[in-house]
Amino acid sequence: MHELQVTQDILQTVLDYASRNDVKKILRIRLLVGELNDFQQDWVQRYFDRVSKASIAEGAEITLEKVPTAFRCRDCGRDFEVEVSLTDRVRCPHCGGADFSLLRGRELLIRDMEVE
Amino acid sequence: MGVRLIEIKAGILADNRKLAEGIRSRLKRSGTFLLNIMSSPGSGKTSLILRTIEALGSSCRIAVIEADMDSTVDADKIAAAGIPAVQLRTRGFCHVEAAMVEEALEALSPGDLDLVIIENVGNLVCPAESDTGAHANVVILSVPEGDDKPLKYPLIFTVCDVVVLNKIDYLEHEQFDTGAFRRRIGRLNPRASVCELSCRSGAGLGGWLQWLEARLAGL
Repeated sequence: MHELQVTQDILQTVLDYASRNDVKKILRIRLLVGELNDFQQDWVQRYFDRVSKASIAEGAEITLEKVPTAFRCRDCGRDFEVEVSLTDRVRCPHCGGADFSLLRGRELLIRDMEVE
Repeated sequence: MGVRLIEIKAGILADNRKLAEGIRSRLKRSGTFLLNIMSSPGSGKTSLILRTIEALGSSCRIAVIEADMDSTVDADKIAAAGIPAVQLRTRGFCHVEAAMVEEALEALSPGDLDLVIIENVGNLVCPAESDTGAHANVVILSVPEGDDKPLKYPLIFTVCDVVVLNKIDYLEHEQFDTGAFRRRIGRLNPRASVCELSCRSGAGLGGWLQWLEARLAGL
């Protein structure tokens, strides 16, 4: 994961929103990250601390909400979650089908931020 | 003023996705298929491209975008095969982004090409996270790397349309379970095709070319 680039993109976006919302200081930023992304919170925080120096986002805490991997069965149309790293063979728990599309797990989003 | 919550709901690296969508639709209009090849270093990206040029080069106008941290060795090999090649030196960048593809396309004349192949940076992690604007994504895994890679690098196996298992001439020397490998891909991405081949011996190349020609015809 290229955390530095991602971190710069996060900073750019939150500063953008801040300037449009009359923000004095950004306190906390919440990310939504799909489980399939190998995204390390420690590193994002470290990089963010570095790139946000002297900005209104300096000192902001980054928190990460993981989105579990979920599939939609193409046979019965129902959705199910799976912990991919623990399973060798995915089957739809509703109908046993083996044809499905990835529904969630690749997200990389800024959800919201706390500001004052 | 007290603490407020501002909703953002913005995708990270969303600019790249927008740019990639633009490339995809523009090239589709000009009838140029963009193919993105990803793998670890040494799995056979350049070899597969050379084999593809050898088989389709007379019937199909091909160009290659080569991405490497540094050096032009791969682009030189492609140019030696008589095919236009653009070398992107990513200088520390671990993957190809849509903006780089855009730049490379300016150096080619996509309107006169049927197929542009991107040889991504050798890496199973970051290339998976950046949409290049390609119409199809290929992941190559070579037998000596082991059948457990879909477990270790799941993301890249979810963003590909075909998985090429290269170096099958090594199967007799390695404990590589082809069935388990196919199952591991199938559970992440049941629609991905799997082509087993050896760029060195040429075995199995027919399946790969068939897949590619079908996709080219379907653009």
